[in-house]
Amino acid sequence: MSLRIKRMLCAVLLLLAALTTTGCWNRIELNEVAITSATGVDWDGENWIVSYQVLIPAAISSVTGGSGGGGPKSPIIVYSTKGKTIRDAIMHSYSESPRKLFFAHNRVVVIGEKAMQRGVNELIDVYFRNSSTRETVSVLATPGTARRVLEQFMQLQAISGAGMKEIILSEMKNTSILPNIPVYQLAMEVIGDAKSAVVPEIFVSGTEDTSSLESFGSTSIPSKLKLGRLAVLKDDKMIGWMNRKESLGASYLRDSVQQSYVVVPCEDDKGKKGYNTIHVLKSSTKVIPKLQNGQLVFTADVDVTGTLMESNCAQDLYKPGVIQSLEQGGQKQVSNLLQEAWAKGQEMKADVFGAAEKTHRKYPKQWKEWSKNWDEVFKEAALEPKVKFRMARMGLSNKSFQYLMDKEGK
Amino acid sequence: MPNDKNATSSGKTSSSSGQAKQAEQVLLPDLDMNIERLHRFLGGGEDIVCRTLQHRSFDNTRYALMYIDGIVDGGVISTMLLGLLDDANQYAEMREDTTLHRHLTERSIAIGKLSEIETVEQACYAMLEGCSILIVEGSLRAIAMDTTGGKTRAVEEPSSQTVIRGPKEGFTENLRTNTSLIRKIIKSPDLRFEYKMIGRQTRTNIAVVYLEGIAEAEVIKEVHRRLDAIDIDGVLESGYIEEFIQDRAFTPFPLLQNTERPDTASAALLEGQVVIMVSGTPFALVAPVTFVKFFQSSEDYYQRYDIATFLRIIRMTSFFISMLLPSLYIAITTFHQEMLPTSLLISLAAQREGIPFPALLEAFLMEITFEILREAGVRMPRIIGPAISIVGALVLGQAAVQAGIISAAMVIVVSFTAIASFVIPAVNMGIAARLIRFILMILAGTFGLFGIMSGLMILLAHLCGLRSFGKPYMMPFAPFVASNLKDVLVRVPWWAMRKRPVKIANDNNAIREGAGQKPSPDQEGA
Repeated sequence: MSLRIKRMLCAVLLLLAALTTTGCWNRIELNEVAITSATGVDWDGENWIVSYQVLIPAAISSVTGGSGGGGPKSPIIVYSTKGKTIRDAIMHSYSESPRKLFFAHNRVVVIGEKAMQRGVNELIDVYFRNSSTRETVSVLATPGTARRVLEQFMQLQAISGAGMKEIILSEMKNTSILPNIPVYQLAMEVIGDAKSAVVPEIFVSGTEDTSSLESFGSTSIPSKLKLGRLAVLKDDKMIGWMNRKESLGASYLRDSVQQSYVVVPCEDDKGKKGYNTIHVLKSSTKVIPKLQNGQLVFTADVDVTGTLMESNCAQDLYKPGVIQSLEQGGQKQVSNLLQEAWAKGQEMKADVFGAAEKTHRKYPKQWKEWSKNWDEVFKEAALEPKVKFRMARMGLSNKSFQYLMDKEGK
Repeated sequence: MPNDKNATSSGKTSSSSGQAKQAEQVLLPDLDMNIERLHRFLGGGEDIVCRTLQHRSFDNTRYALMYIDGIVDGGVISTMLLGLLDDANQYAEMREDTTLHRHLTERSIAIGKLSEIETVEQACYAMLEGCSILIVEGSLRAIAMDTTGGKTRAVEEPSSQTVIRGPKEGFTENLRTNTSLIRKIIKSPDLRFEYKMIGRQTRTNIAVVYLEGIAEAEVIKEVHRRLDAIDIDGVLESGYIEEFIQDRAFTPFPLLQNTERPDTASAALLEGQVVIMVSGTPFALVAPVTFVKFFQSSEDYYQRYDIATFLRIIRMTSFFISMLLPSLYIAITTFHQEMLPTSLLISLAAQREGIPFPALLEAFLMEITFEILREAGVRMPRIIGPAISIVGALVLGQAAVQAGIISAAMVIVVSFTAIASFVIPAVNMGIAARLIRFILMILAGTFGLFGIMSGLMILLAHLCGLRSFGKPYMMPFAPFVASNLKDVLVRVPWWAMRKRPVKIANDNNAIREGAGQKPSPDQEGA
């Protein structure tokens, strides 16, 4: 029994010793961390400039209706540090911030155009090497400096970093023009077979700044953060932009369309022109490579289901023919989008549509040959869009209002 | 009163008594001598009443009635004395073929329970039990009459284990009342009461209650063995017994259940458990028990099974909340901030601005404060109760937050923990969670979630190693007993509860109800 007690005591002592040796080494209190909501990365030609958008929790909770007062306070502060490498720059932050930067709640990383042109592989390495940073952070490109984007306030969302993420997610869900690209996806695309990637653009629209709380005194703010074009990367460096139309086409080809809109021109019996707006509810795309006479050809099988949202042509939607023409119109629109995007991709020699992976999988033997100069092969390959467009619903009224008005007129 | 028990335990009692020699003295024919010796044995005292009587009808034979005032029923004694006097004539007719002693025993005394006493010691212990002693001059034996009485509390609603629906009777301090409450519920000839007396000085009566054939014989034997081994000067509450007979001394978890409710005790008996009742306390012990028993309330069986199941899950959850919430809060806010949603993190961080203490210390301060408040609430005089609650709620809660000493989130965490700990029906299980909470808080403050997980693993290993009267504590999970799961997290409807808990009750007598009693539309009518 005494032996047992001795053993127990020994175990307890060892456990207590373990408690003291750790010294709570990675313990950090909530008021010792600087919660970063957005990071900006710029390149000034020699050094990396990393900007941080840091939250001021007390100010945020007073903005969002918590206790405390004493005039409006900025919910965020932005500051930058410079360094030879990205992490070096972050290291310098310790000498100017009373709190340790905390990146686990970072929502977006904004990359300035110069940094994009220099290459993103260093940034990706930082994200993958460190456990404190998350690979689910959305990557955004900006034509100016990233810092300027970080400095802007946003309407409705006190934390603009979180706001940017919300915008891109909502945009992707509702219109699907620009995809949300998390760091891990960027990394996968950069090292993929085509070595091409895309990053959505965020920019400050308007010439003035909304970096002062005073701008919230009026109903409209002087400048806004907006999503714009799609940056195209080749071998981790940015080579150009795709406009919004091309970008939507790219979204169809990348099969990243969740919901979108198609505006189809229409004409009634009297030759009066108008537009039908179709809400794309579902869309799926299969890009299939094919060999035709030794030439690589791609077929894009797109399956789109839509519902009519708005119609200002005089048409009777009880007639199957009208619906068919709607479907044909939609089909044509989508085919055009695909062709435009494909052509732009070929022009930039950037296969951002995942065609390389599909070819690699289908023709592994020939791939060895093609992979040597994929850009050239891709440039020559034609796209054959096969769009199946199905109208699921016509909305709550079957005859367009214009149609009813014309009838009254008779 | 169980005078026969006096005889069996007298050896042990007198051997340690200073008056050993005298105690063995038998009663003498000389009445005065006997009275004198009884007085001496009990050390005199005002409450010892001795009435010497002598009247003609009994041939002027002197006899004495002795009892201790206050613990006897005065009414019974008066009636008995009146009866004696009335009976005098009858004695005159029969005196040829009987002695006075025999006449009194066989005919005169109007009291149900009598016993014969031969020694001074027996006489004294009988008096201490509340008996009255009748000694007739010239007789070598005395008559002990059961006149137990005195003030006892009435049967009231249990104060610590209340229900909304269910019987409102509770045990009292009187053992006889308590046994009668059980007898009234279970009118079975198999119901067994076995009495013991523990405590050299207090000579506390203890009843071991079980249902013959339903309780496991091994367990009953073990209960007796453990109870017989106890040697203590006094037993004032069943807690004394509990610590002597539990399987393992060092554990925060209760290894015996206690109940104030006759219906709970009866349910335990019907499930093959053994109930140990102790005179002087309304809390009876139940053994063997499993961990899950402490989360069952008697009301579970009186209410519909669906709500009973829901409430059980709530109780289990509350147990974990009460044990873990402060430590999880500490771990997540000081080690794993990335686990929180951003907006929650921001609001927590905003509250922490300017708080001078680390989260661990903050949590400790608040927990200790709450424990002090709770203890004060139990101990303080009822009249000043409201004052303390105002001080507790306003000063310690609101003011501490406004002064920026404690964050509001911590107050929420601590209050929720406190409320959760009151949901557990068994107070002693709630106490276990309370103690473990502090250890887990230290672990969380030093190792984060990793520390909590290691703590919980050690706890689980400990729980699996526990036994209650040889029965695994974590049954039916470890060892897994599928049949017993019907009454653990889920309380199945009564018609589906066909078997008694396997491996706790006697497995040869496991069926408790007929099959196929599920209510359904009349088949013949269809």
